[in-house]
Amino acid sequence: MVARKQLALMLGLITCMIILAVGCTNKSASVNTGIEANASTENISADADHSVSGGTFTFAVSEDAIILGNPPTLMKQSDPNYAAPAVERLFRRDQQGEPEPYLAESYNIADDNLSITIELKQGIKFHDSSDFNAHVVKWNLDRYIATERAELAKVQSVEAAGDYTVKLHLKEFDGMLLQNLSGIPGMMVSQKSVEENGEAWAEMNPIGTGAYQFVSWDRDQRIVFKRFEGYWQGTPELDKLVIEVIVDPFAQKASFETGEIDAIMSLGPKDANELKQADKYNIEASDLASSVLGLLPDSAHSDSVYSNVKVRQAVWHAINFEAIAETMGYGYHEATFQLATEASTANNPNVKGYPYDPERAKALLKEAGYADGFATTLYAQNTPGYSDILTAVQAFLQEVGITAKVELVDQGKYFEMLTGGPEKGGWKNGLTIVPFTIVPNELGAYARLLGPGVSAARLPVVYNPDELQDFIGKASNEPDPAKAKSMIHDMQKVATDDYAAFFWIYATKNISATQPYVKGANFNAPQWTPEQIKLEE
Amino acid sequence: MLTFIVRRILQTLFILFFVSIIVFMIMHLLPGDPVSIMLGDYASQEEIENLRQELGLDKPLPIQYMNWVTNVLRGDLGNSIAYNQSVNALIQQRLPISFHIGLLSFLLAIMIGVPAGIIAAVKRGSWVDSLITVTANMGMAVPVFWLGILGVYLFSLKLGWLPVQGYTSPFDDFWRSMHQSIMPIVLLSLGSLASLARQTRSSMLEVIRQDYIRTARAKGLSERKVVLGHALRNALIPVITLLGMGLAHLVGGSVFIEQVFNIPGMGRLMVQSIFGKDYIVVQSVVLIVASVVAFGNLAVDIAYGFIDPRIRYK
Repeated sequence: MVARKQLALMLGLITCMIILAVGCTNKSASVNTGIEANASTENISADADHSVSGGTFTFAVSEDAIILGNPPTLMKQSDPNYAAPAVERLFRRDQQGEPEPYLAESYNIADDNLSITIELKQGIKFHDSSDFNAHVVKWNLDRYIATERAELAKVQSVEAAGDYTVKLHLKEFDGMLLQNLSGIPGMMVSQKSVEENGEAWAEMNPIGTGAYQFVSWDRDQRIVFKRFEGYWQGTPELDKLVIEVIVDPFAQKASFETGEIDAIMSLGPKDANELKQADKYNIEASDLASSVLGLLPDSAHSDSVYSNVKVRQAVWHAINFEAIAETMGYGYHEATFQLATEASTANNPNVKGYPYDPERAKALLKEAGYADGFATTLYAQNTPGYSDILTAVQAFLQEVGITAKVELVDQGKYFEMLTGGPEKGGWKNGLTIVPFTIVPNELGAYARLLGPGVSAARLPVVYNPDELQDFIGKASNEPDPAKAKSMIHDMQKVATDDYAAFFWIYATKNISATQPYVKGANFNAPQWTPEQIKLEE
Repeated sequence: MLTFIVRRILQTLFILFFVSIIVFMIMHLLPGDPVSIMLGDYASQEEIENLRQELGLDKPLPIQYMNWVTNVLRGDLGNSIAYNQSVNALIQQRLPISFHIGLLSFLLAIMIGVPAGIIAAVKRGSWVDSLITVTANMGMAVPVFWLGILGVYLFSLKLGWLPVQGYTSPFDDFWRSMHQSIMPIVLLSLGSLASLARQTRSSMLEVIRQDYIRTARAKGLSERKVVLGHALRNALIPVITLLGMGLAHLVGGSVFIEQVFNIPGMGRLMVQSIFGKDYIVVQSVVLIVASVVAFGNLAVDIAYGFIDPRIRYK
């Protein structure tokens, strides 16, 4: 009898715990605009619904955003992509990566190069029905300037010169300004919504002028948007757009294969190659590089073997980077002797580089006084794939008598090495893999890691010739695009042919996968164009 | 008994104090700056310094520790660096998800593991015993992540019966939730199920040789009453110890399962926070898991007295 009572008690307890668990299961984890109060309770199916006109487009990304709707708050470089369906920018990069007016209609640079007048498109509404005009643009830009971040550091003030005319007064000309206005600083959010609800609210609620209106955000799960009927370019095709956060690449690929998702925004070359073999999906890679992997020597140390330019040239000749790119990238990576792919306007076709030639490498080592080779260390962050690259490099170096050991470090240690000078750490007598992310373009990638004034904080152990820094500084301030381009070309040649300053392993490209019925996803464009997506029957 | 409970609670608090110091020190002594990780390669030194100051990471370690502990005692776990959100809110979102998956797998493990162990013990030496023992050994030996990948390949990619990944609250869509949770729950329960089955079997085998079991049979009690009423109750103590140890899964989630099945629970939060050096989140999650395990084990100790009236604490 007692045992039965205890059993009943236990069962009751278990039932209570289940109810509690189910009851506790968070219903309010999603963030909602408040504009559409019922949206979060809608059953947002991850399955694509192709029967409905427009349908739901669901695609996977591998990490969540941090902030969606408040550009002045620090954001990850990838955050604007997550907000892009809702928040548009003043400028947008074209297929060549050049900024062109988007919410802006046109722009004019003053003869003295100290002001830029931007005419805005008219008749555009934010999702909260407020107007997009010069006053809102000034409010957005003023808030960004107040953060004192580098992108708008050369803007003295912003003037609303008319209802749809904005004038940017500059301290000095900034060749990167229009590029930056196509990035985070150019994201236009509703002044009305932010002022009414506060910045903290805005961080989670992107209210812009985009084709899709924000519905909900379940952190680390999904961000949901729905069609914005009042969109300035006409009613968008899709009913809903869902960004599904799937961290594990295996789960991403499997979800894509089962049709749970319609696309993967960015996937690894191995997975891309496997999906391509199936011959039923659209697997495409971008023309321009998303990043270029550098193998950087501690050449700023006077006692390092890499301080000798002949050694650097020998190392470049010793390693068959083309073979590494082919093996690691399954045809999607591009071997390069400069910080650009062949398709980029930053590519200088006159760069000779150092083709794979072990005999020439041995000769150069002999000239440098290292006929018997030397010992070195190869470092990389413990990112998938990097150890394979280093193992290949190790084998190539061994062929010319350089004995290398491989050392993988965690993310924390890696960032310490990147910022640590000779006193603080950095790395000694070795080569480290450092990816140069092409943001906003090749010049930006150079400038932010190796530009004038940056060396003290970034990569202080890498020899960064004054000549190169001069080129970066001048190209960044050159108003004439043709002259700026020519300087970038010169910079590429000097960095590679004169100094062999940084070894480029290969350029990585964004690879996307879409189901055959998805059109206009444009994940590989320099900037994503969510308003162009449509699903065919 | 009361003295024992009070003493154990004090011990538990002492343990938690040590856990808080250890996890704080480990996270802060590991190389790497969370602000640099968060802002990436391209942040300027000024941006890094500003954010570090804003987050209080420029203060000496003892001050940072005191600030954290004081806030925790007030119920404020702080703000996540990587999520730009309060840790309380983060845990409020993640804990129920891990608890949901963990509890159902825990119940499944008990419902199958304990009876399987009993059957194996009662049918000792038979093919049933061999089958259960071999299956339990396999369940303990095979890595869960491998089974996860195999499960996805078979049930999602080949048969199309179950979704590959995702989590839906049972309140939002019960059937969809069940559909998505079946694989994670079954896989998460496998390890505990196998251990429970083995532990129950060996405990039962020890008990059913005892004199009082022979006496119970001699009294003419049915085999069912002998096994469930006399043997099982006495064999349960080691099993309950094992169950107490499984409590960590309820609040800590399972890293592999949550990663493979894309479940935004505590395990995934923990891993992402460790990689991102999100100190505050890691410290809070570890402290919560440690608290549950410590108090869970205290509850297990107390439960011994109820299961076996011969046990009395002084």
